[in-house]
Amino acid sequence: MSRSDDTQDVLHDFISGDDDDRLLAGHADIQDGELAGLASLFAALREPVRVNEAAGTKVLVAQMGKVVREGGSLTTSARRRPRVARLFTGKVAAVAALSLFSASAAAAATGNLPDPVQRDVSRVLSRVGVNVPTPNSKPDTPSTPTTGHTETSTPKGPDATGAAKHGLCTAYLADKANGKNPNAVAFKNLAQAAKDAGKETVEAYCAAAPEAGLVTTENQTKPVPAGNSGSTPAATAPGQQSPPGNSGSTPAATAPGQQSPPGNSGSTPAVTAPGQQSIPGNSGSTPGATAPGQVSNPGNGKGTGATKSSASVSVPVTPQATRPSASTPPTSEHGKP
Amino acid sequence: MNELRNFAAVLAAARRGDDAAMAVLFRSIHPRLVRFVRAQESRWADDLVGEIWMAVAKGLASFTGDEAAFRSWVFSIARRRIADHRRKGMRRNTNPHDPASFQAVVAPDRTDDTALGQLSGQRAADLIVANLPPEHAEVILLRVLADLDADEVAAIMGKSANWVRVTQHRALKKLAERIGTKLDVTP
Repeated sequence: MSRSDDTQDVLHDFISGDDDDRLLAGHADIQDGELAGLASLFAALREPVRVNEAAGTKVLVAQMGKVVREGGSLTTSARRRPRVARLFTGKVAAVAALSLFSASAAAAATGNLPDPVQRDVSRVLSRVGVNVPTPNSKPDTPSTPTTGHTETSTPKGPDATGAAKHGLCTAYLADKANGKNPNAVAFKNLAQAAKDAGKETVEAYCAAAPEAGLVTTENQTKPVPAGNSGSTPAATAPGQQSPPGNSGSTPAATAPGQQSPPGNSGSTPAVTAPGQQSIPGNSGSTPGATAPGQVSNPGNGKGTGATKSSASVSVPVTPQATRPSASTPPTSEHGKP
Repeated sequence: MNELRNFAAVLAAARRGDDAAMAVLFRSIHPRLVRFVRAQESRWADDLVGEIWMAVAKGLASFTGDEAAFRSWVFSIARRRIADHRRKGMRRNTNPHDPASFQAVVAPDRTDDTALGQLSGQRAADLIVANLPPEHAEVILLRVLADLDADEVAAIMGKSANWVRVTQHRALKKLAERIGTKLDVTP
């Protein structure tokens, strides 16, 4: 037993447990000297209200009645401040959550989330009718920047069954001859065209292609894929010597059925395969995508090459090869010697 | 107390926002509540009492019980408010005290000239607080001012009823030794 529990140890000689309760309860029959003094003390504690103790109570009671009628809402400033602080805190949290959600939604809609997250988000949102791209359906990112062009559609490449067939075949065979694995969109179209034509290989399909230069430029317009520089690179058959002197305003080797959108800057640097020669005199802004060992045709407007977008050019870039060769006579700015 | 004979009816009317019923509840407890708070926090007693009654008004709709339970509830609110006030004072690390209030503090060794006829309710409360340790004084004040039994005081203070009985006995013994015989009990 602890000391605090041992009541007998602390009992006063003349105060019993019963006296405690009688004293504290305010019984008036206590006549003992010391107990009577305590009884008087506690009686004073219980005395009725004095005037100064009741001062201002009417206002307090009225305020209490108002609080009760208003459903227990306190209007004192001491209570209002924390409530305002809580409200402010809640709004900040809501804005932060909304911002985070919006940023996540924007990232998901544009396919910029990490692939696993993007896949999960796409699957979940597809169930509620929201179309979010999956990682596999994200558009290819252009390998070279473009200027002045904001369109972002997926590259489709040229029609390998049409007039671009020869140019594509030429570039494809050149890449294969160099031991490369052509995987550009245009070459995929070519492979698909070979398959559709019942040919087992692209080479067999290309064996039936008409000779270069015999393809006419029929205007079967199709929009150029996004990321194209607006200036058409030229694809020329290996060993082919194309005469310089085309018009500066004519896009080089634009395949039939393709149309360069207006407003493109045409400032994309020339893309030329190793060992090739690029002849000046071409349009100052026209790049040329040329197969190895060939001399770039500055572009005669007769559809001798396949149009390649800058996003799908797979030929390695060798800036040195684009300089005028010492053995090649320079041409004038307008393509005339 | 006669106004509270029908406590349930008064409480129901007060819950509806009836000012007269609210005043009845107020008058039944307010004087003793003021003495309880002033004895422990004399400088801030008026502010604390106002906050206590506002808290009572706010929680009145959810209160259930009889008159004794109502007193117990109000004094438990008062005790918590005083504790909160002291915690805030410790955080502020300041304890401003009105110099004039020292004149009203009862000196423990100057009770020989205290006459019962001159002893107001507030001075009696101050005398108890000045002569007892804080917990002992609180037990006595709750037992007398709030008119609560040992079990109710134990519930408010978070102690056992046995602890309350032992504490009140020690407090009474100490009061009797210090001031009991010195009080002028002449009517």
